[in-house]
Amino acid sequence: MSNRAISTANLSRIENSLSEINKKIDASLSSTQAINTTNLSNIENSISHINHNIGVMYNEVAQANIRLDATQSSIQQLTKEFKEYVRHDQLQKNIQLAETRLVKVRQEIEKNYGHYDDVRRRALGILQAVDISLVRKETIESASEEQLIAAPSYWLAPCLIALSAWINNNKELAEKSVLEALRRDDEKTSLFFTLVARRGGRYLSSKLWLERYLSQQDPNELKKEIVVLIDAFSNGVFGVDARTKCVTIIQKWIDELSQKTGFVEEQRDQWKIALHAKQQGLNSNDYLHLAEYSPTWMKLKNSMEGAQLHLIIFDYFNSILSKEVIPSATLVIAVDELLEGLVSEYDEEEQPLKKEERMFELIIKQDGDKDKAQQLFGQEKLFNECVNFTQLLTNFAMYPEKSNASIATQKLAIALSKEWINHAHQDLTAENRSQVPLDVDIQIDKWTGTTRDGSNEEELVQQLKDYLDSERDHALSNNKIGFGSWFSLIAGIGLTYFAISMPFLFIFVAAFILAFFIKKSKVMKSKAVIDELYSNTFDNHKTILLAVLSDVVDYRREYSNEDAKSEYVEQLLENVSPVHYIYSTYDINRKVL
Amino acid sequence: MRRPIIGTNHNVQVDFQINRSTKTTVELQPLMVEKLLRQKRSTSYVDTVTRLDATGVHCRKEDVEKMIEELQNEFPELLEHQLPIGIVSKCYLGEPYEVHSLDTQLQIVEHYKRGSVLPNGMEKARILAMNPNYEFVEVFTSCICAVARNGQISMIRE
Repeated sequence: MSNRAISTANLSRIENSLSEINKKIDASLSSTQAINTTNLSNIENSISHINHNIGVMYNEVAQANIRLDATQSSIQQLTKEFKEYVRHDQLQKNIQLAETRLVKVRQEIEKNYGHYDDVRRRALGILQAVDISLVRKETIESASEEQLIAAPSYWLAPCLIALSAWINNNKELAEKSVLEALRRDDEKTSLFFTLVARRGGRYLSSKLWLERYLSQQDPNELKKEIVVLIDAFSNGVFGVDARTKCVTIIQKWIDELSQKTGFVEEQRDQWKIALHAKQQGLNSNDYLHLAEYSPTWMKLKNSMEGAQLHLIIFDYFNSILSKEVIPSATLVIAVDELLEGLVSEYDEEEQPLKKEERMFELIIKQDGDKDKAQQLFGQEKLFNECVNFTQLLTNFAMYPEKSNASIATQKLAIALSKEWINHAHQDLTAENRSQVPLDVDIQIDKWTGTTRDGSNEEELVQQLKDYLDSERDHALSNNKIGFGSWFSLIAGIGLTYFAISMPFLFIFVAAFILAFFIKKSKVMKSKAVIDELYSNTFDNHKTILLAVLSDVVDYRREYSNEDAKSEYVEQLLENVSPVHYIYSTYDINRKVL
Repeated sequence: MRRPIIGTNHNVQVDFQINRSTKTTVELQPLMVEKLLRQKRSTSYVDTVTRLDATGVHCRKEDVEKMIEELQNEFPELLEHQLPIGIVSKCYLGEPYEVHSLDTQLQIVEHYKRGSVLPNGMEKARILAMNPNYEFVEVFTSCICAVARNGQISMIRE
């Protein structure tokens, strides 16, 4: 009985407990459903927000990259400007230094050799005074003696005494003075009296003095005065006999020099340097596309400059050879000019300072660029104390202003050197021709192609298209739904199965599937962008390519035209002969003494 | 009587013609060689070398030997190692051939297509050889000489 009572009581308690549990489960189930609906929409929002944030972040990174590039280019620009500034500053300092030193050197020249100038001026004055007979012989004599005292070691001073003694018929003094002058400087004295005697119309004396002068010359080491002699000879001022003598001597010199091994080669090299120095830079507006898009451009540019040199050389020689020799108004002036050249130019002892002076002048002229100045100085070679005859010829022909060469002398120099000029020019031409690139490389961005004469346009356009297509395909192949996205999709599908038993997993299912579709949408958009980008790139590159090919065609045409002008020089020099360029209408003398 | 075993042939052929060799045995100095190479080439030499291309892709051995003999005659003062390594000239066989060369050591004529490199340092002569202003180019160890139709020389030193 009692057992039954317990059992009934317990059963009712158990029933109550079960009903409470059931209520709780119901409550729990209803709350879970509520979480599902509200939270899923929240999660979706969050994911799209995160996606938006990622997009923003991506843009910021891209902008940061742009800013970084801009900063880098600014730094490069700054470095470039800084270097330019430093160089500019250095050049300015070089100019200032050169200007200061130039003043000092000129002061030193004036201080040390200023009195030589007095002697030179008086020498000219005496010669002119004698001409016009306005000065008393005593005055001339007195002035000459004063100069001897003022310039104790200068060769011109005893020459002046000899001259005045000659005028005064004082043979003994004249001879003594001449001996002293010869002792001081035999060559210059001989030349001085050659010119003075010629000025007086005394051809025999002039010729004797001239022979004395020439007999002392070594063609390997000619003194600077030979400039005057050749100028006089080529202008025909020494008369017919002396001219014949000069021709013989000059030919002898050249024959003698040519016997030396390596001499002719040296001449050719000298002429090559001199001719090459005439080369000018190409116009910077020519072949703009070729210059920008061809790695071969520098070679092409050098070759074109070399080809354009033919016409420059032709014009240069032609202008000299076709120029009419207009002699000075009278013989007296011509002789005066020669004498003036002899007596007014500086002496050997003045040369070191004169060299410095010239160097500083060149530095200033080259805007402070010492290297360029040094190069020009080396090319001039005008301050060599001794030069060989053919070097003089080069100087006469190529540097007439600096070598004091008249037109007649330039013509003679060209005529005597024509064989060397021709050889040098032929070698230069061959060198230039051997440097012309057969194939022209083209580089547009990363695409490279080659053309010879621009005729393979279609082939190159196709190559460019193939290249860009390949690049586009490569870009498209990279623009795909990645492993992560596919995994996301698979994970989403896989989780669905588990989500049926555990509904909260639907959150992740939704997230995974959403991520996949966002990625897919992006890939589709990028594909369209890539297609458009490569299409535009092709159009742009094709335009550039056609412009470059057009430049190549123009270049080849112009090069061919310019190169053909190399024959002009040969044809011009072919008929040139030294005999044709000796001026012979100068044989009238004026008796002034 | 003993049988003579020596001097049985009394009809000895005596050749009185002396083979005079004009080939020098003295090596010239480089500057002298250069001077020599500057000299205008003879017409017969230029003609012979110019005919190099006329024989087609394959050159007969006799032609090559004749050409080398002509070359040696052109420079009798030079020793063998001072002679040209080879001669390069424009090839008129048409595309894709550009130049051909006579290798004087190997005694062969080769034709070279566009893009193929000439051996033994002869590549440096290619551009000049293709230039219509020159008939052919001689390649020496120290220089190359471009020869014009009239035999005039343009030299490029190394």
